[in-house]
Amino acid sequence: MIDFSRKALITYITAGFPNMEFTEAVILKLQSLGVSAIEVGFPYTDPVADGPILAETSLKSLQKGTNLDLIFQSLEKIKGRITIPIYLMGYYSTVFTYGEGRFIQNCVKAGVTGSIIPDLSLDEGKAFFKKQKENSLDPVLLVFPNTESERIRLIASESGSFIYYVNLFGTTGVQNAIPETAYENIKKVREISQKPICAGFGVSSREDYAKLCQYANGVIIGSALVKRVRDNQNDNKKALEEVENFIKGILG
Amino acid sequence: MDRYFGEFGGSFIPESFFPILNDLEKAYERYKNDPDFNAEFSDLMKNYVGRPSPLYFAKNFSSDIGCKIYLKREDLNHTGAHKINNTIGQILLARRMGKKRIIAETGAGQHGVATATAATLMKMQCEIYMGSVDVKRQALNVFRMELMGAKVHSISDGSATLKDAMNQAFRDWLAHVENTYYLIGTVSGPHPYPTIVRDFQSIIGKEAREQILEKEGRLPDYAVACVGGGSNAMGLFYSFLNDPVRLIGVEAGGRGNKTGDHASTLMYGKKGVLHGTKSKVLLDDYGQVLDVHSISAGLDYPGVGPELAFLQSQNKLEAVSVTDTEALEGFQYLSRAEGIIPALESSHAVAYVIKQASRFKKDDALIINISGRGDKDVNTVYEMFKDKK
Repeated sequence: MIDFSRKALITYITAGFPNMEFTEAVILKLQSLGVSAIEVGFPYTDPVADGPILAETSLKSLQKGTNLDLIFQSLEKIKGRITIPIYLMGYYSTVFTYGEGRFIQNCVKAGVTGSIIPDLSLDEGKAFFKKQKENSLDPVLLVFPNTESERIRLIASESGSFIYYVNLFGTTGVQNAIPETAYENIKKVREISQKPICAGFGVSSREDYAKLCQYANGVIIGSALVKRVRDNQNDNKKALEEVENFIKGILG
Repeated sequence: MDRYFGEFGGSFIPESFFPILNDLEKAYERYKNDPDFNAEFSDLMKNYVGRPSPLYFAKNFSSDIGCKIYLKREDLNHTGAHKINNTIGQILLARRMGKKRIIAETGAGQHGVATATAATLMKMQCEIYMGSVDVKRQALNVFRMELMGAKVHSISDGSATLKDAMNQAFRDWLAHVENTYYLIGTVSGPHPYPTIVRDFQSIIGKEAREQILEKEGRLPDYAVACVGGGSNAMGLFYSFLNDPVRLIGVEAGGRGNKTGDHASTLMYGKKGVLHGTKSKVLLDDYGQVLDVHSISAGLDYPGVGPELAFLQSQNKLEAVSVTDTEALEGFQYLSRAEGIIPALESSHAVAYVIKQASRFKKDDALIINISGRGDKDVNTVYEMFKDKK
């Protein structure tokens, strides 16, 4: 589980973009830079909750032949060197077709900590969340700006070791600024639940990170990081350097 | 209200949609039996859309096939297709919910035109998402929407067709969930859309049932409709679900049954999740959505409404397909035989009856849903034929 004794930085990367070797290397790199946990995004053809950067890299990853089996293989390969939590993040279509049971089994085998499936809500996911917990996996659920208090209570009790707070209405990406209401909303969630809160969506700078850290236990960065990889997709070494510069800039 | 049709349906969407869909369900429950709501809907159906649409006995078609063929003339509706039944219904709901902004996806453009029409009628702002491939093949429908003041977004992501338009409409909705009403055009999407759209479209079958009882003194033996997402099919079939009527859904067979060449989801799809609903979907072994193809923009979709998947699983619905070429033959045939130019979507239903003529006996009565008129397709077909001439 994530070490919440300090403010956590969680980073998202698109698995298999630009290739699986890079994914393995960047996970180890991020870990060495002091990142608290990594969300490994498994690609999907129709990522409706994602903005242009994650949608583009997801599609390119699929074109390279990335699938859940290859992702599990890579994660298993580096498992011995991983000390921070790894969460798999993606759409339910993929998990459903792959098979919930098989997904859980392979998560356990590959040393994955848990999963974040944004299109699987409380209503449809109960059985899957339960099965994950029975296998010591950590399902993380999301709270949005328009989620009402009673519903937050239910989500918080169902969610595993932390709550994912979504800063804004809209898709993932650097195109959106974090609205001021996000900070108030995080306070509201905290009044309802004791669980740590990590805030994501629209985080792209050191300033965003620092400000959110005043309210949340952790901050999630996706598109802003993946953009550095996308801009250097033909050069794994350069992409790793850019990732390093970016993370150092965020952590200060 | 049931969230599922057997094992199909549900709502696989991010949590932010939960309050919105909850409100929609509550509003629909409240108004569906509300006398004022229904009076307004009926008045618009009659005086604006032009309902009831005729059930026409197609004499020449019947004698060619050797059975009794009735055509349900949804093509005669205002805006030229069945789509308007649903958009009028939903816009009345949206207005009562206090929504000011309407978004929709469209394939052939019929749902886009019908949405733009309904939004104009209610003085609401309207934005339509359409794949760039479809924008090209249905340019006149784009212009129609623009004439009525709608903004049309051309989407060039992915296959640049209906599925991608729907992805982008979902993204818009995700960003503007608090003030925007997403007017879904087919019996798919998260609960409660499949039920709401089916109910508003069920006027087709309700009328057809009364009309055939009046004309034939009995129920039909078959009801035939094309299936993309499935709204015209569910609209026709719903009133016959408890009758001994054989329901046939005709899917787009495209260029053949190889992956990527067709859009026959009921025939070749597997149980999966797409656009918020669990239904049959054309997916690979890892849950990735496969490419689809159809000559008809309205059938060019890798999913299908959950209730249709359910009916098929209960053996209440027979799923068949015809190819692009056969659909074109149906298009030409009905034009020549009856002086009715059907939409390429509806041409699939016509073509199936021609193709399987020997299946139907002399006393069999059929209802074919002519879900839309072919005016929008004349250009496409002209381009295909002019080279051959």
